[in-house]
Amino acid sequence: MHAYTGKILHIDVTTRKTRVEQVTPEFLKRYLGGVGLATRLVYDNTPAGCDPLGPDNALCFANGAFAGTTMPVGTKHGVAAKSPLTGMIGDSLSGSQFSEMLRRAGWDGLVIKGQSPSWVVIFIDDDEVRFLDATPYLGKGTITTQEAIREAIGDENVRVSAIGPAGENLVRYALIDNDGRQVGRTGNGAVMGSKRIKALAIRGSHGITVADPDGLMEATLKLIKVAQGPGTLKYRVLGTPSNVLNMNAIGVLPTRNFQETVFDHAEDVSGERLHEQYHVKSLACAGCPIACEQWGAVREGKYKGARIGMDYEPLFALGPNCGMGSMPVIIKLVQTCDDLGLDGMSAGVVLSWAMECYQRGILSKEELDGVDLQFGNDEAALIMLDKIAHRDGVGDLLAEGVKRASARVGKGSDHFAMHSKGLEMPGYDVRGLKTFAMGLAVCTRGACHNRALSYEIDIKGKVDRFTVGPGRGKMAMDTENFACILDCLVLCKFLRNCFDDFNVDVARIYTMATGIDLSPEELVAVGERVCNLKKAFNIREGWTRADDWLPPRVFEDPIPSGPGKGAHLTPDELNYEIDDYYRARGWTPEGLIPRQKLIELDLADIAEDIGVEMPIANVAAGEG
Amino acid sequence: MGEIGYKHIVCDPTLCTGCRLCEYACSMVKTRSFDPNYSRIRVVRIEPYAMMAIACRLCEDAPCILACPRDALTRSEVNGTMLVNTDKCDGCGWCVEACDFGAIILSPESKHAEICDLCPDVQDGPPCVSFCPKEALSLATPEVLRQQVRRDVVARLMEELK
Amino acid sequence: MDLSVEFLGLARELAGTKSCAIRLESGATFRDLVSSLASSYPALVGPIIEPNAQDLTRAFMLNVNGRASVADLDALAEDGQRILLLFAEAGG
Repeated sequence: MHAYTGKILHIDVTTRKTRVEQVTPEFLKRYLGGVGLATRLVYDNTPAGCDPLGPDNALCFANGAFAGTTMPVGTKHGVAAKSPLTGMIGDSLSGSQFSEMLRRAGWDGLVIKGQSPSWVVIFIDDDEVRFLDATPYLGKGTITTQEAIREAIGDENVRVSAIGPAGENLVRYALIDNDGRQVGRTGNGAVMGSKRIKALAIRGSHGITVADPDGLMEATLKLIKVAQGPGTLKYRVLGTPSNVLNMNAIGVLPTRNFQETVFDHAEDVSGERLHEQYHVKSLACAGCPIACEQWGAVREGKYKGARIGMDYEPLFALGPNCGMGSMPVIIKLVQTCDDLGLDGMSAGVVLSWAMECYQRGILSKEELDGVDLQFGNDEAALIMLDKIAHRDGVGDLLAEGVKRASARVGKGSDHFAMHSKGLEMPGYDVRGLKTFAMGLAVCTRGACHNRALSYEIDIKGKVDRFTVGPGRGKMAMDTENFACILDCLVLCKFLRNCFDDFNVDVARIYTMATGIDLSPEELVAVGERVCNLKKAFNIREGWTRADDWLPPRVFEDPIPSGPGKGAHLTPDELNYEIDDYYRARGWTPEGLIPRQKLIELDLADIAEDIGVEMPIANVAAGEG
Repeated sequence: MGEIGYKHIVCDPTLCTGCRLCEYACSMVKTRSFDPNYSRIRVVRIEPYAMMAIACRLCEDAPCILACPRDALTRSEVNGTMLVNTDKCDGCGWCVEACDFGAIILSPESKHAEICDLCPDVQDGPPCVSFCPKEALSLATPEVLRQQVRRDVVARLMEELK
Repeated sequence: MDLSVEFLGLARELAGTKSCAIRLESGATFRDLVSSLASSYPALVGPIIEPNAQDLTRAFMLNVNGRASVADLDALAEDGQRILLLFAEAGG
C-alpha cells in the first residue's frame, strides 16, 4: 500500500491487550480517513447506548490520507467517540507532527477501549505498545505533559497527545492537545480521561511511500505556491481573528452571552489590534504552507508573559461573549484553557451563561463560591476556569456544560443556555444568519460552525440573512457535504479556495498518493455518505427531531441594537427550513434515513440497523 | 569565478514557520519516500516560536573532515560540499558528533554518512528551497550573508535617525 | 451622491485608513464604487480589487449598512449608504 498502511491498532486498556485489524483499499476509499474513518470505527466498536465515560466507548483516531507527505495542509488526523457532552457523535480534528508519526509508526487508525486500572501513558513505538506509569504527569497541563514525556523517553521524535487536569477530571468539554493543536470540541479529552489515559505517545521510524512520487511532488509544489496567493490571504496576514470586526460590522458578534451582537470594545480585541500590538510570529502545522497560527504575546502588565496562537472562536467566546475588552486578558484566558485542557469555545459560553445567571440573580455570589463573576471580570474568569478544570466547588456544576448546568439550576436559566444538542454555540449570532441557524440546528455534532459551514451562505449575501426562503435546505446540505469531504481526506479547510476544480484536482492527487483509483464523483459521494453515517450513529443513540433545535433566546429575544436590531427567529421559520433540509437530504419528515438511501450510499449494514421505510406519500413529495 | 566562498543553504528564522516541508521534500528526492529521518536538512524548534532549518554549512575548516579516522570525507572543489567516499566510510559516526550543527546523518539504509550536497542533479535546484512556502530558505555565500546583515544594520540606523 | 466606505482587515492596512468618503454620480453602480476605490487607493488593486478595477477578488465583498451584502455589483448605489469592505470568508 502507498500512503495508507492498511492497519488499525486496537488497544484494550483494561487487559492491556492489543490486536491489529487489516483494512482494504476498498474500505479506506469509502471513508478516506479523518472524521469519516474515525466515525466508522466508533460505529463499529461502540455498542449502542453505552456510557460515553464508560469502558465500552471506543476512542478512535484516524489519520488523513496525505499525512506526512508534501500535500499541503494534509498532515492531519481525526478523533471520534460517543460524546460525553452531547451523547451523540463527538468528532474532532487535529494535525501536525502527531499525525505524521501515527502514519510513520505504521497505523491508519487507533481504537482504544476499556478503562485502565491505573493512570497510564500509552507509548506506541512503531508496532510495539508499552504502557507507562502516568503518575509523574498527573495534574500537569497539556503542554508540560508533552514536554515531560518527550524528555523522559529522551527523543524529540516522540509526539504526544495529552489531556490536562480538565480531562483527568472528566470535564465534559475537555480537550486533547498535541503539538499545540487541539482535538477541541465535544469532550474527547474526558473520554480519554475516563479510560485513565493521561497521554498517547507515538514514535514512527518508517518512511512513507506514494504511488506516483514525481506527479505528487509536482502537484503539491504547485499548490504550495498557490497557497501564498489571494486564496489564503485572510489566514496568512491576520488569521481568523479578523472575524471580530467583520462580525461586529454586520451585527452578529455574540456579546455578553449573546445578549447583544455588537461589542463596544471590538476594535481593542480585533485581529487588527492583535496584529499591530501583540503579534510575535505566524506559525504552521507540519506540512502547511499557510501558517495561520497568529501568535500573540503580552509583553507588559498584569498578564506579562502570556502567549498563545489566537483563533477567532476562543477569542469571541472568552472575549466579547464574556464582556472582556482587552486583548492581553483574552490571550491569558485562551492560553489558560489550552493548558488546563478545556475547549475554549465551550468554556467561554459556559462562563458567559454563569455570568448572566449572576447578572440576573439566578446564581448568587455564595452559590458561585464567593467569586464576583461579572461580565468583564478577568480575574473571576480565571478563578472559575481553574475551578472547572478541577471540578472544584461550583466548578463541578459548570464542568457539565450549559445544557446540564441549566437543567440543574432551573429558574429559567435554560432560556439563555446557548447550545444545540449540548454543544455550546459558535461566534456568529444566528438571529442575523437564518440559513446558518438551521445549519446549526441540524448539525450532527451539535452547534458547530465548522461542520455546518453554512454561515458563508448568509454572510456572502447569496440570500437575505434576515428572512427564510426556499432552497436553503439544499444550500446547507451542500456546505455540510463539502466540509465533510475536507474532514475525511483530511485537508484543512483553509486551503479550500486554492483549487481550480476541487473535486477533479483532489481526486487526482489522492490517487497519486495512495495508488487507489478515485473519481471526482466518488470523492463527492464520501461527503454525503459520512454525513449520513454520523446521522445514523445519532439515531442509534436516540436522536429525535426535537434535538434539532435552538435555545429560547434565539426566538424570544430580538437583537437589541446594531445592524441586526430587531432580528430574531420564529419556530415556524426554523421548522420550515428544517423540513426543507430533511427533504434535500432525502430523509423522512422526522429526519430519519430511509433504508434505500443508506443502501445507495453504500451503507447497507447501517440500513439494517436504523434504516426506515420511506412513507409513500413522502416519496412523491420528496421529488419536488 | 569572481564569487567569494561557496553557496550553502541558509534559513531566515524570522520567516521559518516550522512547517518542515523542506524535510519532506529532501527525503523524497534522496530516498523516494517521505522520511524526515533521511532528510539532510532538519528543522529545529524551540517552542513556542523559535525555529530554523539547518543544513551543512560547508565549513572552511570542517571538523567532520578532521574527525574522520578513515579520511573518508573530502571537500568538493566544484561547489564546496562534503563528499563521502563510500568505499572508505564505515559508518562509525564520528563525523556526526564532530559536526557543530548536527548536519550529518548516518543512514541505516546505506550505512554511510550522508550530507547535504546541494542536489547538483536536480534541475531546479535544491527542492528544500523550492518547497519552502515562505521563501525562508535560500542559497548564499558567507560574503553575501555579511553584505545583507550590513545593509540591514544601516537601514535600521536610518530608521532610527528619522 | 455621497457614500462612506469602511475598511477592515487587510483592506485597512493597504488603504492606510479606517474609512473614507466617496462621491459618485447619481445612477452610479457598486461597480463604479469599486473603480473609484481602485483609483483612490491603488494598493487595493491586486489583493482586493481585480486588476480590471471593476471586480473584487474572490475573498472580498461589499456590505451595505451592515445589513445585506452586495450580490450584484451592477446594482445601483444610493446616497448616504455606509459601505463595508469585508472579507467574504468567515470561520476559524
